[in-house]
Amino acid sequence: MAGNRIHLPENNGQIEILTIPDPGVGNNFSYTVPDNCMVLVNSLSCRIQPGFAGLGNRYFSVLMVSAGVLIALNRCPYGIADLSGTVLLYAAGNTEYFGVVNSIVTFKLQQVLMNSGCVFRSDFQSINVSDAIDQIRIVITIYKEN
Amino acid sequence: MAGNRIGVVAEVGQVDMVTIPNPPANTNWTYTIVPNIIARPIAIGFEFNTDVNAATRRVRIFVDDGAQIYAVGVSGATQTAGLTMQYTATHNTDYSASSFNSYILIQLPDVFMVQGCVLRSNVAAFQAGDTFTNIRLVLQSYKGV
Repeated sequence: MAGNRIHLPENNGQIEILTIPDPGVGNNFSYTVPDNCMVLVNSLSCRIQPGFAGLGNRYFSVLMVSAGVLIALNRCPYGIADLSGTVLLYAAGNTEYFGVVNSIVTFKLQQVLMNSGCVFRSDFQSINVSDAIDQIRIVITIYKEN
Repeated sequence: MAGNRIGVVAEVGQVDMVTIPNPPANTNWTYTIVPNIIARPIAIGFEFNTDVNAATRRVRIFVDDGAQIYAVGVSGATQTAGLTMQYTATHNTDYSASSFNSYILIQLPDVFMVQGCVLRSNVAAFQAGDTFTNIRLVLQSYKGV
């Protein structure tokens, strides 16, 4: 059994609200757990503005990857179809999916403890050169290694 | 009141990213809890590759002690012949979006396990050439006292 190990500290860690830099149109965002830390992503919010119509239903997913191996995945059940120019706010956490309410979509987030080097990233299906993901915030619990 | 009991050192835990070796064909993967820890699986990712035999497989995750089953997580979709699907199992899975593209999701039982407990896959309609690969387990554990 091979793998990385990190020790939890003797405290409860700390809460941080992080702004993930805009990845630029046509790109997904990603966040890498820093060295000597462990991170639990409690919630995520971001804004998506699809740039193209006519691509059919497209879905927004969140992935967690360890050493190139997918360990957790969740997809928002709402598919964006032909909504060129429409802006949706996605909010994920320990919640349920209720469809779109006032341009806000909620969905469940896989809340998985990740250690250093793990990547938390988005995957907007068939992301196009004109699709924009921005205003990305995550609330994390971060633990420093003993 | 029989059974294993273990105490823990308060708030001294760890998280392991465990790579489980690929089992032979037609064999489930297993992970046995080592002595003197309490462990809580928090995520599992793996690939399941089906052979050409026509059958409808459904992957499950068992928590047991070799005799008694304590908890079961069931995949949100089945898998037919000749496919490679990527599975992820976590606690907060939404079954309303549990199968799409080449992904299938499983609700992972949220249980604490002690020595003798085994986390294992279980496949309904398992075929001779079906294989598991790229198995990665995220395990939160606490040392016993």
